[in-house]
Amino acid sequence: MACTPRHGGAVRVARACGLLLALATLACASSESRKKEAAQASVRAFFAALPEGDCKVLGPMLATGGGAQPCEDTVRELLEHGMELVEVLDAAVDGRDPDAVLVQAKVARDGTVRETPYILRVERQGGGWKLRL
Amino acid sequence: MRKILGALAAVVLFACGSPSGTSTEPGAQPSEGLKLTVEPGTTQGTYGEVKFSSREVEPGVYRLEVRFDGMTLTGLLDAENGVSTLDGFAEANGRDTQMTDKDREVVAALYAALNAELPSGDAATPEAKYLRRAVGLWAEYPSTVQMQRTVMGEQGRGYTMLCSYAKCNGKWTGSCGGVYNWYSYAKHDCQHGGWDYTRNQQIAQLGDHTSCSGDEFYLNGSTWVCGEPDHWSRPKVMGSCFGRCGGGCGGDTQYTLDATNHDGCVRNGHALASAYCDDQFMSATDDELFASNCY
Repeated sequence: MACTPRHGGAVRVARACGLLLALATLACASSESRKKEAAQASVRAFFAALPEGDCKVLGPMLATGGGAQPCEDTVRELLEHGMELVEVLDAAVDGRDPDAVLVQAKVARDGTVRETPYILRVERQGGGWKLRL
Repeated sequence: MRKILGALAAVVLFACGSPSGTSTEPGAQPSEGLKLTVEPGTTQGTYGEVKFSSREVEPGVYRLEVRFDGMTLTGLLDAENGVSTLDGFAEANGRDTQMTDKDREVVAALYAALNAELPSGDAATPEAKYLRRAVGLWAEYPSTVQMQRTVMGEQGRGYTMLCSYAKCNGKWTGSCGGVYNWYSYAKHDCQHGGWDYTRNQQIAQLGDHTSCSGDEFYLNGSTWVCGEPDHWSRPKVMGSCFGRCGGGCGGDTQYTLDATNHDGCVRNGHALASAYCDDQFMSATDDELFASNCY
């Protein structure tokens, strides 16, 4: 069936709407993937710096408030438990909080890799993504 | 950090016991604010902002649901076959979410209310009983554990009953009158050592026989002391429903091996959030859902 000019206009509008929808979807997806990537990077950075135990470095990577322990206590306990990051497996934005990402990670304790992955919470605070422990 | 390790282990009260898990302010009635309807095939109600229900959807199969603060907790529990699936997600969009300290407080309060209001043990209807058990489990669900899980329970494989050790002096409850029935040993592994390390073991009198300000007792020389030992070598301990599934002395009376080991961990110098007890928590999950009541 040939397109009339009127049909052609409708097609153009439909295409434009489709394009806008696709862009919006892409923007959302990209925003979500940025969050997930940032959160995963925060987890990796924290555990990479953990062995040094330096709260001048580690402190700014940790979320504050909401009952969070002082950095020194957190780090001491983690080191006592011999916690190490083995692998980041996945991440998902918390369905109840768009400023929190749940990072699924494989963690070792005292050299033993735990079979069940841990869910680590990373929250957006002060413009950065901070690990809540 | 009680949370990584911690939530990891949001364990503490779970398998049995820390009384603070379900305690309320002095004078407050745990069931105040609870609206409960128990009918054949259905138990449902509200508790503050929490809505809950348990329905028998097929003979011996129960659908459980608890909703609050934008979260939905669900369970489908086949009691006959010892199979269940648990899940928790954001109500608005069905996406993953996580149990937080605040969530656990809300669910623990509901657990206390159900314990106060429902008949204990098997006197409760099956819908009410399984709802209570799942709520007790969620009340201590670690933040670090995925909400979606399949839990299988089979006596002898998944869980081992220790009912006989919950009695002393021939009684399920009340004072032992100095006649004990010791279980050896409640065990855990941690930074101090493995399961066989004597400081990771306790000799326990299981059961509902005593408590002190909601805590347990341990034997120091010849004196019973209120509180918890911290990695002593095989101390004798008792009280606050040691070995019982669910936080504190909950409405069900399941005494199991995994629950006893969990208590032997969280009541042995490990904080509520200790990651060293999360494996005991995970092991005790099927016990709490499926093990029979001892009395």
